[in-house]
Amino acid sequence: MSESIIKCENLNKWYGSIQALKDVSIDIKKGEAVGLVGDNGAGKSTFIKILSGVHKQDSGNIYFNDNLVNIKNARDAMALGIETIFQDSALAPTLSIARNLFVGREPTKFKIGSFGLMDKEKMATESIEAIKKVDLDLRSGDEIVENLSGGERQGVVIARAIYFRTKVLIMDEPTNHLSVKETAKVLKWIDKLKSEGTTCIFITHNLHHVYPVSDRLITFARGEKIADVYKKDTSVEELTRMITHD
Amino acid sequence: MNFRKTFKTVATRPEFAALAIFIIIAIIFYGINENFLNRRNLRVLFTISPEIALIAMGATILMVSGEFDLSVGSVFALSGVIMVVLTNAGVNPHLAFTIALIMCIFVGLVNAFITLRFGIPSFIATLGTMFMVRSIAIVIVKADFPTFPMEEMYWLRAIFANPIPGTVFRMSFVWFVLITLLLIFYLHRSNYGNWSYATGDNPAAAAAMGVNTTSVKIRNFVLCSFLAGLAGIFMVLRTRAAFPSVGVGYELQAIAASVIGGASLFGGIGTVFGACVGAFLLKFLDNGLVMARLDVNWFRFAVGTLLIFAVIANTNLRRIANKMRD
Repeated sequence: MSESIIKCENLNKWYGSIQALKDVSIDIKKGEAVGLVGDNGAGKSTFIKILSGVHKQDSGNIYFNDNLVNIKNARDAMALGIETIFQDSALAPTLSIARNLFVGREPTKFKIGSFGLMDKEKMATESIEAIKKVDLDLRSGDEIVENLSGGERQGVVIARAIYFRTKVLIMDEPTNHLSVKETAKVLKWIDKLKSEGTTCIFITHNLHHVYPVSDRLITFARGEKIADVYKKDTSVEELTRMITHD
Repeated sequence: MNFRKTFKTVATRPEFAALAIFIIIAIIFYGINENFLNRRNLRVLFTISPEIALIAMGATILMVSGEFDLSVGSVFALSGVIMVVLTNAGVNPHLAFTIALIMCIFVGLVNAFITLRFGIPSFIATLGTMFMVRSIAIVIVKADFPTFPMEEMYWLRAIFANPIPGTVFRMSFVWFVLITLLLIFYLHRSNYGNWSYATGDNPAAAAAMGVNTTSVKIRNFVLCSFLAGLAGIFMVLRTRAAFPSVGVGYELQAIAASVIGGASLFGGIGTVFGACVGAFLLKFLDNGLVMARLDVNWFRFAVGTLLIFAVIANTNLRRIANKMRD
């Protein structure tokens, strides 16, 4: 548990004259499940957007497996093994599960430059394998994502993370809009990811949801990291107090 | 159970519904006037339909990736005009043909640049270029229409336009089939096609999955313009005249064909086959009204009705089908 996978040093980010991140340093260890908590505009979204390549930090360094890295876009992040699930925008609803699983990384039969013929058979069989791993009751990868429930959609996204052997999975509000039952399922999948050695980072409003699966909780306020504690050293009450009385 | 499944398939694949309407319309017109499907009229149908079908396929692919192109009608006119004017000025006709298509690609790039660089709706960006390109086409011929260089264009006509002896087809139809197959490959079998769907459906998700949504859109803008230009050249070679005023309203017909063929105005849905069916449907309807000796001015009324009917049907059938789980 002591080896670090993502280490950030003094990250700063401005949007115009507003400083969204102030000297944030975080050291995330391999296999950890880290919850990022804080009110709206606290900086947690900005932080994960930098890790996933949506935004670039204005100053500060990011080390991945102790190597200094320059994450310019989503592709760079994915090449490192960092996968991000943004709220409501992880899937293309009118496409099938199979197509969704492989968007941007379609297996191909042949390729000319980046243009290639999709290997549809492989996509079909592998997508069934992938959704089996998250115990989703879906018979085929041809099902359109639009037809799935919120929980099933999260399942597809997590299946994708497992399939591509993601090293770090970042989830933005993974349990938002989900029923109690579905939430339990998503939390079970997160446990599974952890057991397979994936480092998980999640943003959340609902402390109660992530508390059981988190090893560590980092609290943001006004762009700063105000607390970084292991679960065993804190409680939901204490964290809530921190977020509301910062 | 089997019925449910069939219904679901048809409801989620609206191009089949369009195909059914197409067949019904063909049968009705044939019933009214047998000459509708005789050799001579089929020759007409298979000559004019591919031209609008090429434009419609380009429009559909672009719509799938979430953008529109209203400049296709103007590009349709521009390409032929450039080719003929350059040839008349002494340029090698094959070079003139190439330059004309390069100009169309350039218009596509301009459409993409204005839309993507400044983040404005492509509807507006290409409405602007629609006027601009039309204006350029008219200025190039000095509001006149140039004589057609018959001798110089002998080979181009032989390759792209002449009737194939013993059949109801022209050479343009062969090219149309070839291009359709390539486009089916592009949109439905290649990874670029998958990126197009993802980009039109949910650009944020596509980008998060590492798809360069900007390149996807640029590519499809260019493809759309190129196909419109090629269709224009086919027409000029066929009619032996380059009018700068042809293709007015084609942009809306192309969008109508796409939508009738099942494409969604919101991106992410649509097929090459559907665009073809939609385009053929429009042209058969147009021609069928003439053959039935009805007032041709009802054409627009028919297209409008069909369009509204198609969109309502597609939207609702999809909703119903989505609720069904087998």
